[in-house]
Amino acid sequence: MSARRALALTMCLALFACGRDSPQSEGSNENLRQGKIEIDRAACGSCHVVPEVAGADSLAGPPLTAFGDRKYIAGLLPNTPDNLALWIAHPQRIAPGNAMPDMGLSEHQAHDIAAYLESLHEAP
Amino acid sequence: MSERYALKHLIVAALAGSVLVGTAIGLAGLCIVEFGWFAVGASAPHSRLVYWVTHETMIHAVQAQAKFVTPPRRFSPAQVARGFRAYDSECVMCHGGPGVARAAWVSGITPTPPYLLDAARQWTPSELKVIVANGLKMTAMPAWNARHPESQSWDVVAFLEQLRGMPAAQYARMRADLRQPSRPGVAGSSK
Repeated sequence: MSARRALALTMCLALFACGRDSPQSEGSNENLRQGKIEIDRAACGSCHVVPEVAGADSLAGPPLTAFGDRKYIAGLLPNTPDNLALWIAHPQRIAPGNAMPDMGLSEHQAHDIAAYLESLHEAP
Repeated sequence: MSERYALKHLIVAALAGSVLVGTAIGLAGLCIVEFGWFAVGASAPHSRLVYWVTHETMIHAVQAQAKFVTPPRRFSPAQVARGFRAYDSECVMCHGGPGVARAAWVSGITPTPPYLLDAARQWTPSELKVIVANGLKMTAMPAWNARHPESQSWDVVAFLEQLRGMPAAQYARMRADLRQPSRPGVAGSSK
């Protein structure tokens, strides 16, 4: 071990804890956590505003703020978690020719994303 | 007298504190480099801090470079058509289009390439030119300039300006025209 490394190690053990991410408020639920990661991976934020997702500030599609309070999905389906997962996985099957593509998401991924979006509510 | 003493004490404490904090930050940085204390895998998104540092730096660097770039007064339909051909062959697999998904493997890239349907609202033509022509380090975005003449970057920008709000049916029609050039109506000519 080089002197530089030894110095760094001895001086920094106390700082180790600082390097970890602070847990998110919805982090207790694995579904929601995974949903947020899937939203990032699927680049949802390049077309939609998605609260608490870094960089999700685009206005190509409708903002997904307070989605849990919405009545309709795409103005077509009643807003339930299952319907939302169906829409996310197959938007072209439900509204052919709309701008949102079928992204090849698995049922599992679509459900996790739906769970996150349905957890978003208007601030009281 | 005692008040003066207290003030002196405060200044010394503040100085010592800032030296300590500065040293701690420097050492933490050294540790990240030396021990690899960084989640380098692409399987998890960036932390908020890393996202903020990298993303804000990228935005400001692009904006600064774009100040030295003068956009054409207008883009011709021929430029848009050339830009579409380039986009459809070299960009769409990572950035998708209206009604067109990115290639499946692209979701494994971190930061993941965005859809560009809103890019023309978020960036000026000069900024888009800087990104297309020069690429972006530490993302998967290659420099168009490395393999294509400068003018082709502007063609792509011309198309990106049209992409904003383009219906999925129009993109599909342009694609079909591209694959069957004998059909009436050249790609990009229909508005």
